[in-house]
Amino acid sequence: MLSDLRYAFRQLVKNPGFTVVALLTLALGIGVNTTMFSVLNALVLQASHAREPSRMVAVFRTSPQSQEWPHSPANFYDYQRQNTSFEQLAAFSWTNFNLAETGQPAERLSGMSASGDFFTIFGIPPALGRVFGPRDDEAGVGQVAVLSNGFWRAHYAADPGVVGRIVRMDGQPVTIVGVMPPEFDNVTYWGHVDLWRPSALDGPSRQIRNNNWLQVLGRLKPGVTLGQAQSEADAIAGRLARDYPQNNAGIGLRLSPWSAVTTGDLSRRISWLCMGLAGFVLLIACANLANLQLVRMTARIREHAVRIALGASRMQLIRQLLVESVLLSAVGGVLGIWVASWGAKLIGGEVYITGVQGLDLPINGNVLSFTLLASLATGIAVGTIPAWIASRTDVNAALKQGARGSSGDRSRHLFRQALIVSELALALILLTGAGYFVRGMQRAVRADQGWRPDGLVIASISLPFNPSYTTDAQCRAFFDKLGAKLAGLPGVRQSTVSAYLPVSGFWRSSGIAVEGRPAAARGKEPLVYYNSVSPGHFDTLGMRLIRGREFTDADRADSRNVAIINETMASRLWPGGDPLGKRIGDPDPAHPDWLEIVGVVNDVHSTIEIVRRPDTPFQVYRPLVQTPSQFVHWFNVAVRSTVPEATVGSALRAAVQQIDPDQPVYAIVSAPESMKQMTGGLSLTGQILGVFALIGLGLAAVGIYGVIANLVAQRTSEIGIRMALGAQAHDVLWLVLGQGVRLACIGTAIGLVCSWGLVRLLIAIIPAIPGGDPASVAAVAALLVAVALFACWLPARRATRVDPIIALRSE
Amino acid sequence: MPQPLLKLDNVTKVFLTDEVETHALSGIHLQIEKGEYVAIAGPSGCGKSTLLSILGLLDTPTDGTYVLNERPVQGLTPAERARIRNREIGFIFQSFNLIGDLTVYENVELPLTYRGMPSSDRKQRVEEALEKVGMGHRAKHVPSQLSGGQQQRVAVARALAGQPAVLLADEPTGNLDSKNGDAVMELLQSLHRTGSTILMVTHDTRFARHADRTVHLFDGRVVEESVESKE
Ligand SMILES: Nc1ncnc2c1ncn2[C@@H]1O[C@H](COP(=O)(O)OP(=O)(O)O)[C@@H](O)[C@H]1O
Ligand SMILES: [Mg+2]
Repeated sequence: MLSDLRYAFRQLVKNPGFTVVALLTLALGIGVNTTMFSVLNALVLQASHAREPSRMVAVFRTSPQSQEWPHSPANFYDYQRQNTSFEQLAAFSWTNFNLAETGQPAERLSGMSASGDFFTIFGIPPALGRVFGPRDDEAGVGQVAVLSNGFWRAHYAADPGVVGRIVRMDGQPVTIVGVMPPEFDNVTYWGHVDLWRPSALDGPSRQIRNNNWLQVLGRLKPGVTLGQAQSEADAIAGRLARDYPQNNAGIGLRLSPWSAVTTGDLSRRISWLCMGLAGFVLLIACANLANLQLVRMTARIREHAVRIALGASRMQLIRQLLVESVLLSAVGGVLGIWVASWGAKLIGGEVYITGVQGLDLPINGNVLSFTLLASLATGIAVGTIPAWIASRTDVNAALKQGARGSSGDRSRHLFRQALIVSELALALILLTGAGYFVRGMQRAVRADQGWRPDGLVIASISLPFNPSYTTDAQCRAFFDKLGAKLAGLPGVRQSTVSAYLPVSGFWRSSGIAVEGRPAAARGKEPLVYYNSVSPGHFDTLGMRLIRGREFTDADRADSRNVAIINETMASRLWPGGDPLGKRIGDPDPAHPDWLEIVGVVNDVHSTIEIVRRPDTPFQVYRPLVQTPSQFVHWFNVAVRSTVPEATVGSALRAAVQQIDPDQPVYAIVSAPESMKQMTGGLSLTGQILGVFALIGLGLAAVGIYGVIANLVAQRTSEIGIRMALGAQAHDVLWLVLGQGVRLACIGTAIGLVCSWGLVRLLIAIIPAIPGGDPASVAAVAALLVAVALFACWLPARRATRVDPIIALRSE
Repeated sequence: MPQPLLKLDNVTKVFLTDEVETHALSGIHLQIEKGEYVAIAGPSGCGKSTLLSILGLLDTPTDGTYVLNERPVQGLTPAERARIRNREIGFIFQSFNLIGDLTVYENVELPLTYRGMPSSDRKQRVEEALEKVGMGHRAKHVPSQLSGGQQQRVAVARALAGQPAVLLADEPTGNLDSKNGDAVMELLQSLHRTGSTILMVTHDTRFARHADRTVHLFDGRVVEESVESKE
């Protein structure tokens, strides 16, 4: 074995040309796969850290409309009390905290409010200080915070002295009690979190059943299966639905292994897709290597014949060649890791998570094991077939006639052609996949979304739930002042304050009743998205009023409650009729809170719909001042201005400071830029697929070049003879090119058929991508054929320069 | 007065390799009439193959003129030279040079294909040529299934099929044993009798006696021309 290794090493050093090309191919093939695996590993496989993650379970509320809804506090506490399956069950929600430290401008932090068992469920001890527990979660306590490692480093320069420090948060003093270790950052799961605080709900809040915002996570007791826990959850959900039909009719509880929810479904599917397509790149690389190996086998046929004649067994011969191949791929794997360390940096730098750019994609033990496996598999796959063919060397023929004309030639040749055809087919699949994805994305982003993003600057503000902003009146006073300030900003022509903007889509939905129509069954009411907007909203966004009127300053908190609905809702609920003057309201007959429809506007779509299907096409707008303030503590500002975005931003900040110095304005960005960030992951995917496709195309081109060049080299004397017999240059050109054309056509045909499958898969993964783009498929197929022909043309042209005089030379 | 079929005037060929000049041919004058059978003899390395390659338009002289069929051939484009090779010249090589992937039939057909001849005409010509060399029954075989002598007969058929003005043979028996070699020589002789013009290179003066005339080369020069007396 050791001597095999030594001999293999000598062989590789002896053929530097082959070795270099093979190593480059391997470095690319394995590098691309290692890179993608590091992405998959970070985003999916090791996305989140917890002790014994297999016992962790996410609990969702289900309804006819969604499988992933959050819970109300009352339901959560009932479930926590009644279940016997979970060791602990915790509720949490994403919250923004406004941090105001003396002498510094107010800052908005992203954080989570969680119930007392939250940290116990994860079982990861803090890096500094302590975590909070059930005792901190009691009402009126809770003035503590645990920092994330990232925030601690960024904001406090990793100062261990922060533990025990008291800061002002949402206008209250809060003690920092601990800092979590880096692995608890879990960005792919919950985004960039700066800190965790106990939710410390008071008694009345724990009784809320008509408002759902809590995510629920639990740790199963040892030995309890997910199935058992699910049966128990079904029983509890049934009881909750029976006891509180008002709020719980039609609901269910769905348990899902935590590992399945730590990464967004779409990210997971896309990560796997990319991994799979990276595998195609490796396959192309393997086919190339197998081809190169076959060429070498042909050249070494006499060596093998001699070895066999000297008594080497077939196994020994195969082993020798396999050792060589595995040695080569091992070195290629090391280079691949080097390539991947670059690739991971490049990709990681482009990832956006909750608006923050950059994600660490470590090349850790998991990734290295993958690389090792991939390299071994490559070495064995690439080595076996040529070794097997070589081991069948016809000793007599080889020793007698030398390298040419032995019977193995034909099967070897067929095999090489099959390899090239598959390389081309794989390259075409990659090309169509990338082309389809990129074109689809372009069309999805450019599609008319029913509003005009250019020239719009947007920003977010979130009012804390503290004594300054508890009542509707307090919040509305803030809106009034803000509206006035916005109108006075320099260069601002139009402005709006609204709960949601179509950039990030609508996030509050609810069932409705239509006045005068029989009530729909509980849980089966038509679902609508609610948005609450200030006067001028539709104008500012460039939407169209189709019927009726817009909201005006005359729509006051104490005037008649009105609503504007979208076109689709109007035509579906009042087909052929007039919705103006009709009333919609809450399905609860006890307090329907009727809203009179005063207008119809066009439908708007959100960029986010590319990744997240809307639950309903119905959209209802209400005046901001008529909306209960609990729904609009977090809201958006949009201004259409003639001055640059940065100027608008600072003016906006200053304006809000004047209203309340504790309130930060954040996420100030132009609408087109925000849309770009929203689809950043998909664009990045498109770029990654594009790079795969180009590498695949390049490798396939090198492959077909190699085969045709080798063919020309083998047939030089034949070509000379043909030229001596009077073949013209174009006869020779076609003789060679014809081979390439044939291979390219077969490869393209097979590739097209398989591409169709890939496109189906893409559509299944990202349904929002517009389908049917025969032009781009035709274009990439043409590109592939053109590249293949160019790769063949180089050796073909060389063939036409063969000197026919060689025909006169014997041997 | 009828012009000779081939006419070389003061042809020289100098090879330049690694700054070393090899004078492969120096001042060759040679005329070959239609219907002649000429042998070119001389020791190895004296320039026989070089002379043949110039005559066969595989190579160009460094100096001097070459008139083939009343047409000066210097300055022709590679495409025109290929056309002339295809129509006027039939090559017979020492190592047969059949194409291994093609059948006997296809090998013989090859020069006709390059001429763009319709396939029915080709078929007739190929069959005729194969009959002439006695290989008609092996049309479907591939070269590796034939003996050396048979392969060379197929090569002769390939040279004949195009009905060229002249057959150029470079040591056609060099790779054959004496029995097969004799058979090929007989074949050439019979072709000569039926009117073919043949120019054959050999280093073996024994075979030269079949020819009407032998040109002796030495060190790139014609040292002697002898006319065989027919027995
Ligand atoms: N392509 C070439 N480059 C350099 N020298 C050559 C080349 N072809 C032939 N020669 C030289 O020219 C001389 C004549 O060669 P050749 O015509 O092949 O001789 P012959 O066929 O009589 O044995 C030899 O010295 C040979 O080495
Ligand atoms: Mg010679």
